[in-house]
Amino acid sequence: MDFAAFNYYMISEEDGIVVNKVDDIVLGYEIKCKYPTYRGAYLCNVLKIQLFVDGKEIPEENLRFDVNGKSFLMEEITDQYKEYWFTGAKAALRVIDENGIAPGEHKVKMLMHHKIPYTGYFGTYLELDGTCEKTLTVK
Amino acid sequence: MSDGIKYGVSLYCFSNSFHTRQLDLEGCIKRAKDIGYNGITLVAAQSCDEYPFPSDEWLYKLRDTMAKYDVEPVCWEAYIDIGMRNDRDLSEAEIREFTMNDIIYAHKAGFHMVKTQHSISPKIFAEMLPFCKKMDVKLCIEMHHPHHPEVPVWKEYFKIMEESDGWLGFAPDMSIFQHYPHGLHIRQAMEDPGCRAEKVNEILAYMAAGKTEEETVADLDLTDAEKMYAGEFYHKNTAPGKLEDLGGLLKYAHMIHGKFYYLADDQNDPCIPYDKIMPIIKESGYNGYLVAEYEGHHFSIEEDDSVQLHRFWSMVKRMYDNA
Repeated sequence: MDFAAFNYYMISEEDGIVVNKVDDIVLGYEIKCKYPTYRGAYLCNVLKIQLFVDGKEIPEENLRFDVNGKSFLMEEITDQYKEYWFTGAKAALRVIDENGIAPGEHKVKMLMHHKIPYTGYFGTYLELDGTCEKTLTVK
Repeated sequence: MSDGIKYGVSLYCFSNSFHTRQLDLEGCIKRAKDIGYNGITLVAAQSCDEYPFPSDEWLYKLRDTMAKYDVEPVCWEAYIDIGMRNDRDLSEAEIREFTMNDIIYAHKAGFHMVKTQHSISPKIFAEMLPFCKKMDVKLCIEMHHPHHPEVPVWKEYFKIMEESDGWLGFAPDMSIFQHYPHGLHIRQAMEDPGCRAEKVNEILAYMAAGKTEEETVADLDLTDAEKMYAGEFYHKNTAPGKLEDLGGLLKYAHMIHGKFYYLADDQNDPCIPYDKIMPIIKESGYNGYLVAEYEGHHFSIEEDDSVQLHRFWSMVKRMYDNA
């Protein structure tokens, strides 16, 4: 399978899971992720992201995507053709959850459906489904 | 008078090292030079952290870094990301703008060549001629698998090149001669839990014997995963280009992409027939760059790109020198 090897890099193991707080008020938690090909992407070409934590899918309305110093609702991502997610650059995938997340290890799975924008050789674009699953530790 | 071929490298070869930040941009340039390559190309969409609008500061720093390591800036490799929006393809005005921007960036960074892609369209490609002359930057279109010289639009492109006094050309990617799966693709199939090793070997034997995909699938009683790999093996290795056409077309070549995926040693590439390609290049009198383009990182993150680049150089140089 072409374009498959970098799926492994999609979830950043070293950054683990970080709980987002304001003072003692828990807002949620986040992981860091990278675009899983050799180059950067126009953000809109990321057509769909799904996040599963310990086997449970996080509803889209509770997810935020932070890159280039900006934050996006999932429904905004497919409009962002002026935003470039650079090669190997880390974005945050943020979960809004006032319960936070229990300390320790968690199974995190990320799916990305994305489009390779230069591939329309005979009129159709290559669209890929990347999967990455790792056990992350809450920092 | 021809001085013969020159050997360059695309920093794209270091995709894995760059993605993981084991090498930064300067590190990639230094590594290329250390291995022995004297010419550099880079994929702007990969290497430039200010893409698609690099600042003068970024471009001049790139130029100075290439000078520091005494490597020749060969080509600024651009894309036509025609599908970069989801609501529509890029308009003519947008393709023109991206192309002119790339020509300007290339000039600032010290490159005298821009590589673009087939979707530029014959109309815009031809329109770029005066700007290329003014900026002293040649423009070439990459011919990449699954395209090949017989695709109708390429007839138009060759005509435009013919009338451009050398300013407009092409960059044939040797993937157009890809005829057999490379080692990393085969390994991927072998390691897939849905595939049986003996069946993968049977598929390969059928391919080597010239059987069609339909014959292979009909004969071999394959699992779904094995069928998927059989499909990929056939689809990726159709070798749409004819080797006998290469020599005649090289008069339009600004550079050649030396695509490869995995070399087990420096003797032979079972995927792309460099043993046949290098003598054709030599006989044609082509004296531009053969730019190494290692692409195994699409299939594996375990290979050492520097080892692969050593093997490639050693292999193609020997084949060229002995021809």
